[in-house]
Amino acid sequence: MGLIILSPSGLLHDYFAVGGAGATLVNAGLCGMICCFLLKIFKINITGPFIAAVYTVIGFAFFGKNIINIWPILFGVGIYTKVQGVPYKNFALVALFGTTLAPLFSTIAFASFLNGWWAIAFGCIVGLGAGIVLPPLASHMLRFHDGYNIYNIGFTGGMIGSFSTALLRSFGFTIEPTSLLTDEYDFLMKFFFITFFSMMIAGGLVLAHRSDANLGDSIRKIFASSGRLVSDFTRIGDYPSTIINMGVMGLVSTLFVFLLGGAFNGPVIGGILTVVGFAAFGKHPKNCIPILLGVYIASLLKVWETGSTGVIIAGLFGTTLAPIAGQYGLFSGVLAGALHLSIVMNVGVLHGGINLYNNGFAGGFVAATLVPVIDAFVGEKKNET
Amino acid sequence: MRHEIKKITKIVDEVITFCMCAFGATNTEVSIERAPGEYRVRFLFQGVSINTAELSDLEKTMAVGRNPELEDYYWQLAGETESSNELELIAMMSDSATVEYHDGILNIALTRKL
Repeated sequence: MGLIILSPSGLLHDYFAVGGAGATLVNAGLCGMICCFLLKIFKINITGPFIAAVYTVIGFAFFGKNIINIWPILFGVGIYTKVQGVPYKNFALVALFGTTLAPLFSTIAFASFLNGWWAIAFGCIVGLGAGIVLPPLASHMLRFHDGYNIYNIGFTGGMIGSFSTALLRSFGFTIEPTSLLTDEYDFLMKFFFITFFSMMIAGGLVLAHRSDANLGDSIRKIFASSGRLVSDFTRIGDYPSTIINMGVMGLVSTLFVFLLGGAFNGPVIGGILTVVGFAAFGKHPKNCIPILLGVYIASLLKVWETGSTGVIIAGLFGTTLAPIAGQYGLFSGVLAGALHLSIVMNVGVLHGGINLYNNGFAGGFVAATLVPVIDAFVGEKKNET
Repeated sequence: MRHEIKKITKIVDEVITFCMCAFGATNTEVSIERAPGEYRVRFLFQGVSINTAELSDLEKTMAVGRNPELEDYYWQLAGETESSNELELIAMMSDSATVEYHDGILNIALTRKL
């Protein structure tokens, strides 16, 4: 656990490679409990967005977030709410997703030319600063892509990360993306997560059986949703259908990894858990599969190896663009996925891996560029009811 | 409360866009009233074509209730596009909402406490 906490934690630091399976799983579990604790003390209802946030934090606790480096962001958002005089719960969602910038603290505190307590203090100050500016920026950035990039905080984090990295580099800090991966726990993790997702589906079916709700009708409503922000499937459908959708999306993601010949390492598990979380908040097979298909087809034509971790996580996290497929159809989704692969492979250098949701950053550019063009040539569809 | 007036105009924008695009409203009247401690927004749409299932979905969506956990972050999305709707977000920005439909006339009344 010490090695995980002291690692720079930027993209891509697989905690399985840094600290082993035991420490990684403990870290993921504790990060999840911290999120649940926050939801509990602020009396926040467990709806789709918060399910997505908790799963995202747990997923990234396999490669970038740990029980120490998430706190400066969480407290930074707290300072913003104090200054604005609003309850913390109003921006708790931003705080949880905002931990995308957790490596900002780790990199400065443990991997810069500064030493000892000075490094930790400066890391805390920069992390707090990032947390303070996140809420107003996150809300404003929504208009850049009109909600077609589900990982909006990833786009916001990319902007803040790029500014921070540029400033830090100009003062002599070295911040570059690295790649530290291991496939050592591949089989164990595949077994664990396939079992987990299957149990989610079974659990959802049991809940649906016990309730009076019409499961088919709820699933149909979820599938009819474009997934554009704000699409809370616990309200559009209900909890049993949402849990089933989450389990199904977990298996779809796992199948995608199998088909591309990839391994279950930290980033891939993070990608899968994020997709599962967002299956309560915008993602379903109908709007995600076109994106996965687009990334796969593009990987066959482009310079990257199809089974590489980079391509696989570009596909999994690329489903941030699912609303484009949901709104404009299969071809638009495939196009978005294909374009996303190229963009995401090139924007990481801007923030040097400081922003963990690099695909959200890339997705913002893809959505903002593609949606107006598609809208002009494909035309608007009938408004959903 | 910050951006209160802008939030009200976003609500108006979204509801009008939705009802004109989805229900084909031909005539629209809007009233915004600043009452003590709250805003009251009333919409009257004429020439509306809506079936029972659509009305039921609309009533269910608008019954979500105020949700500050999401409103303060997502409110800027309201009224931004005409190709999909943010009615659920509008419901999250309203303390109460009533929907009535009769003979092609749709009435929606929203209350937003300050």
